[in-house]
Amino acid sequence: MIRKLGLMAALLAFTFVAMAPSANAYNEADHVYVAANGVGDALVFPTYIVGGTLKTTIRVINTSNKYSVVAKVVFREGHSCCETRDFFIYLSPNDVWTADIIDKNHKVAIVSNDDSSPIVPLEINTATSCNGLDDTHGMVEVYQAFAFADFRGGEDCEDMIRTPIPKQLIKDAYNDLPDAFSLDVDCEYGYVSREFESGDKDYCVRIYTSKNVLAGVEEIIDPASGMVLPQPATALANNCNADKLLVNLETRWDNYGNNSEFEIRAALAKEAIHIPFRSDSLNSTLAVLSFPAKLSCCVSGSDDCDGQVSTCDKVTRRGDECLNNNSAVDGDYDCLHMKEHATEWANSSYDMKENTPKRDDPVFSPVPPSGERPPLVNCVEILNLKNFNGVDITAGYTEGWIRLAMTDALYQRYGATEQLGKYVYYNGSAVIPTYVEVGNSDISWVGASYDCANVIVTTDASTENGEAPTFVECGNFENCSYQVISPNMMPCSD
Amino acid sequence: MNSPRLFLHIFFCIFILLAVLSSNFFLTSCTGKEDKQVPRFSSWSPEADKKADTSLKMAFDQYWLARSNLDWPRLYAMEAPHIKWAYSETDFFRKFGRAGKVISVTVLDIDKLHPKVVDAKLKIVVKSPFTGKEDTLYPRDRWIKVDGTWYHVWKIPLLDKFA
Repeated sequence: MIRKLGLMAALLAFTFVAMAPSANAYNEADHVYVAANGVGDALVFPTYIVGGTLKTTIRVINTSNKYSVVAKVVFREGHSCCETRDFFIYLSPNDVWTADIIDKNHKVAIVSNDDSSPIVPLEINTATSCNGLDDTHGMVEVYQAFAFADFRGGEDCEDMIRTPIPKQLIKDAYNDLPDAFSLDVDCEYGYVSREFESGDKDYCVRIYTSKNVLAGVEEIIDPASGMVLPQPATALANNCNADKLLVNLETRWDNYGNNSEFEIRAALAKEAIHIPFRSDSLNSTLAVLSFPAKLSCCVSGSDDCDGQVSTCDKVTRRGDECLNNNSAVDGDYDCLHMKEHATEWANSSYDMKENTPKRDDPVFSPVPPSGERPPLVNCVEILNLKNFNGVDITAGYTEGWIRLAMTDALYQRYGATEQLGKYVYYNGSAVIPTYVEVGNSDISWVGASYDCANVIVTTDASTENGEAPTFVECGNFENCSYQVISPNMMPCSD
Repeated sequence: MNSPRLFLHIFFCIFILLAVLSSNFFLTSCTGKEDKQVPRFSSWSPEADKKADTSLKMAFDQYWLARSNLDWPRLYAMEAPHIKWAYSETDFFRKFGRAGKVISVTVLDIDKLHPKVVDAKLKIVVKSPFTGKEDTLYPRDRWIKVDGTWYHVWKIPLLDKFA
């Protein structure tokens, strides 16, 4: 045990100095954005699929050669994103964690021999989610808890531990922190120095808020037919997480990092997406739409989520995930909240010669409403364009492209920021859009292009009739430029 | 040629003819007997074994033996007519020719969707064509009977699950 007063005093003083930068400053250094370079402090693997001959491999890469990272991996079923399993992974600098999500005798299982896993070898089934819905497809999120650097051991912590940092050291450094541990430091430069014990020896380490060092890639694989569909994870940067994450406390976009779920959605928002397609006897195109921040699942284990799905089940075939929490909608318990999570959509379809179906009434505006279009309610939607939630949106063309305009429920698009007492609004939908082309000779999975969304930051807390806030105090910007040109700048920051 | 020699000659010819016919008979019987044997490449659970007829078992076994040998002409020949309509043999190989080698097949159960349409619930072990690792998978394998012959239906899992 290190109990040398001199060292303690030095550490305390050091810690104090490290904390000196503004605490919880909601400024340009710690506002979330979608990282165009694919490296951030949180990742979303948009879709995993298992079952039959399909399995999914995920990889989380620590691109840093300085920081060790502790991150929480969360598996969610694809209907309402209810959590089905979570655990921590421990990455030393330059480390990668790999796991397979497989069908193990008709149960979804996560297997890994990677030494970054919580136990090695890892082989664990997913749990039944709070709503009991099928989890053979879903999404995976990775939330970085903290970054660690400068591991030292020996007498008075004078000896630098060289890479690769032993996993046990990273685990012990994290596990030694109290459950309520929270860093009160500047996101970019701040850290806290801390002592901990590992294997009867004493060590020291610097602890940082989450750092933008994680990247990821997944592969949906069919070994039986030799198909591999790779897809990079979507990286969200500058979440600046300062709180210790726990396995017994659910981590979601509404309680992670230094941003509210509305800011996460504003960063992910797209006004419309573009999907080229082929659709004939030999070719099909599947839209793969992931809505990671839809949060239609209530918190597992809460009163709202008691596993009693019968009331909802008769009508909607959904569970009590529709009992949303933390929303502006009043607390009725009639399962209608699923509608309030629903994403409305409209499409324009074109063939290869710019033809598009004739509208009923091309002379007068507004155009008569189209037939009923069932909204998108699931967190992961995988739809053949020939049967897009009950509608053929290829317009009968065998080849062309589709502009798909999606709009999230208003109460998802307008809400408070985590700090500052401001409100953020976006148009469009917080979606990760990809599509699968099943062609005559091959299958590919690619990201869809999109129209950027407009984001408004305001002090006005109310809207009417689903319209954008009319009282704009400080910011109105298009989120792509914002993320590319000045990704860290948040209007209205103090 | 005198009559005893002629008689002997005729007797010898009849003997040879009978020998040939009887050998054919025994060979045919043996082959027939083999047809009724449990397939040798695939394993069948008792439930599945009870539900499948011999012709399906034989076709199934031949098909999966061909999968284990990556015998593409044989596999294509055993695909259902509509698969052959959709893909020429060249296209079929181009599209699926990277398939992993099947190490073992166990039929867990049989779902008779129709007298001429069957889904077999399988457990297969496949050697990954990419990593060389063995994967255990649990597909449903569809078979259809056309003009008295069982044909395999090659499915694309993503389309099968979501289309």
